[in-house]
Amino acid sequence: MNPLDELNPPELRNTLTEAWRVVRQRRGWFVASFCLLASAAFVGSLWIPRKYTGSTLFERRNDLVLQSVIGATWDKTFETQRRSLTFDLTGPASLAESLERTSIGRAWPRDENGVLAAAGTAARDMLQNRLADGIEVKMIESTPQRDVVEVRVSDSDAQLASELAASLRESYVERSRKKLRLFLQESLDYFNREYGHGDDQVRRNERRVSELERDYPGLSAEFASRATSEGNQLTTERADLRRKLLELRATEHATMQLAANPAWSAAPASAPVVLRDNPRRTELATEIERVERMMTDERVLRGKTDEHPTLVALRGKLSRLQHDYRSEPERVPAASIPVARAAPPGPLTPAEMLATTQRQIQESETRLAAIQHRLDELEMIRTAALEKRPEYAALNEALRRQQAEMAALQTRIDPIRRILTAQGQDRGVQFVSIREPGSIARPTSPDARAILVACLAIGLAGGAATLVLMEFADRSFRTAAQVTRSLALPVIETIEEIVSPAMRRARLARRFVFAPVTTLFLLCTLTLSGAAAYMSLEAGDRYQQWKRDPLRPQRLFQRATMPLAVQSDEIAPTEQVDRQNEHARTGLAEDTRPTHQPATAQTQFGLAHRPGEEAGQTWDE
Amino acid sequence: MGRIADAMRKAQAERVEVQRLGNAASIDPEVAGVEPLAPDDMVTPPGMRATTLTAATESTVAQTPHGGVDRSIVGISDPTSALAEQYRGLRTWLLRHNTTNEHRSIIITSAMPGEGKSVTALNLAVSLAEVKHLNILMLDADLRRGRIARLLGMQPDAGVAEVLSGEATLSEAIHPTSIRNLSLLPAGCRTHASAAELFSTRTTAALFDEVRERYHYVIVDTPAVQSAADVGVIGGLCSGLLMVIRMGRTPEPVVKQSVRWLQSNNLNVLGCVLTAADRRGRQTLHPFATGGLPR
Repeated sequence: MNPLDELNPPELRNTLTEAWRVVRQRRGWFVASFCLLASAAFVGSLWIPRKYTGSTLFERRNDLVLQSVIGATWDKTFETQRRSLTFDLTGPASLAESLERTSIGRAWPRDENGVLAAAGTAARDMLQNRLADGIEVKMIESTPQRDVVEVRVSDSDAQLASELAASLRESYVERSRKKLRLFLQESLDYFNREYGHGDDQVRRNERRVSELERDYPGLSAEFASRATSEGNQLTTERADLRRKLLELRATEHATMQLAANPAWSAAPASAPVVLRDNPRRTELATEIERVERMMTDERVLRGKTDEHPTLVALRGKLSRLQHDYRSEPERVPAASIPVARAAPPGPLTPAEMLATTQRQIQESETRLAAIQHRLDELEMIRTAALEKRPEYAALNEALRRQQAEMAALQTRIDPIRRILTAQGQDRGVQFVSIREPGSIARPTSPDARAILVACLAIGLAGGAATLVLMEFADRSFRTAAQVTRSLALPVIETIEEIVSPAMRRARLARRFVFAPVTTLFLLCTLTLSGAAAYMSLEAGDRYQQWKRDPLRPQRLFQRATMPLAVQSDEIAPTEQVDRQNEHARTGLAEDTRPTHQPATAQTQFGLAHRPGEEAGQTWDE
Repeated sequence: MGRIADAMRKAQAERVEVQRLGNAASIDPEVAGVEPLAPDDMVTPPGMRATTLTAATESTVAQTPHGGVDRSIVGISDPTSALAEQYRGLRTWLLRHNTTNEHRSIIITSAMPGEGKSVTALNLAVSLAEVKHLNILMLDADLRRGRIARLLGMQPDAGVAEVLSGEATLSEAIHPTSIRNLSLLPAGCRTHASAAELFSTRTTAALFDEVRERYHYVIVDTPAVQSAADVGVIGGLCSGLLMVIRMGRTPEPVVKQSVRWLQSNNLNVLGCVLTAADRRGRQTLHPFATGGLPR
């Protein structure tokens, strides 16, 4: 179903016609009501509380060099500051501090120490409550390296709004840097303390490990491996010695038999003896070389000192090996040739041979005993180490963990130290002012256009209401339809009004004199009131000027049109001539100043312009 | 009573005289042998209306030229204006809805004074007088503040009051006007606070019978309903009543009350004439009554 069908155009047309008739018949009342009500609304709008907004724009920049030097930790610092931006700027403490810096705050009563008295504190708290909702922080731009922040303060006092915006910004900058420094210093102190504790613990553990290794050499894995290889070598050597001992005893026995046979005892053995290089000596040399290499590795690669138990053990082993090496003959008879059948070497007599053999036997037995002793020793060390092995392992594990923790702490301490150093060298987060608050002449609330529309709407509504009321109050007939409806009688004819000459004269007077004058008066009232309302919002300076001296425009006009000779008698002739020349040159009346030039000393709110502040000024310490 | 009878006899004589002179056409033009006129000839053109005076009344009529008539009588002062046409429209309605010749005495009244009933009555009478074959009598029944004579610029010395009080005859009281076919029976020189009692006599009925006999249409101007009860008395002697309502002035309840009062007195309210109306809007185009006049 078409919604337009429900509108019933004839009824709509009739309604609109009737409405138009009412407006046409009572247009005078409508215009008067509209003008008067709109004017009253404009005048009333002058009492609407004005709200002024002071705003400042500044930039926070990250230090790219510091970022590249310090790395991710520095990024976190910048990000941490960004997250707490609003609270740092507008939190209660910051706001209180900023208020105390304003001209109002400086006037609050204080004690002899400069601290706010009770009355001052109360005044500050009251002002703080009033302003808290009017402060807005907006992040205009936000990148990993740069933030552009706008701080806006709205209040009925323009000067306060402007001062507070600047004060909040300055407070924030100071507190940010201080806060960062404090935060970093505290972090550094904390990490240093932790590092100290860890270092003490590590030293204690290292000392204990050294003690254990010293007391129980078998604890260390290296020693165990060395002990094992040494044990194996000793075992091999023992086996060789035993075999050699058997051979020596056999040789001794044969030599004793030889010595007991006179035939053989006088004649030197003529059978040649085959000699070879002592393999044992070769092994010893190899082992000596290996031990020496191990010692070198321990010293160079692992940084152990000579007092280290490992090196002490190796040194002991080396000395033993060297002793054995020295005690071993360079050449020994070949093993394939039985010693009993072999002729004694050279010119040795059986007695000498026997002595040599017995000496070798003794040496071998001594060595064997030493080997056995060493083996026993190693076994004892190994057994003793077994009991302490859990404690040793735990200590090593704890040591490793503590060393890892300390390494982690060190990774945190180094960047913090670098940041603190950078802060002290004017590096770090930088703050740059982009726009200063400045003096405020135009209120942000109410909006001039909104006031215009609202007042005109009030006028229109009032005019319409007047028409409606008059229409309702008018009980007379206005249309033939009303007559027909009311009286149930036909309307035979409608006769227009017969206008007599007197009536015509009165109507002409009303139309051409009264109505225009009244309309002009109403329009002037409307225009003036509207202009006053608009000016009070858009050109506060000029409005205040006009308020102080309403007749100023008239006087200006009079002075401009008055002959120069008739002007003020107080002006000295020379001065008057100067003024005349000035007027002739500039073409301006004396009191008119170009409106775009601000007042020299003060704005309308008595705030002196703040010298010296320019955009681009940074607060870096 | 003797004086009244004398007045009646005099009136009869005048009737005969008028008929003899040919100024009063018979009620039925066909009976009088008058040929029907063409539509264009039925109405005297505005510029050709001549003043016709009977010998008997010549002395009583102030010789007023056209300028003596009030400007509100547009039928005379500005006959070609739209206003005059509007009154002619009223005339047309009356003639069209009076085919049976029943409604020949029409009262023009209003709820409140100053709504334009006298002007309306006189303009209606003037427009009726434009019809050539009609003889119209304008009767001013407002004995307190009769204005009809003043509107016509006349200063008669006798009128309804004198006739009803027997001081003058009907013939003496009826005065021809500067408009052809239009005669005037003014209110009279004497103002009567007790006009209602005066109208309540049989003389009034006889008067109205007489004038109805003599004239085609009698237009009666009465006081306002709220001002005096005269209309209630006179209304019974007339066949119809037109209510004049001034737009934008008279309160609706007052008009309504007046109409109800008239209707409750069994007066035949034919319809309304709206004065000072704004004809620019469509709402002011009146729906003309259809069918015959209410009986």
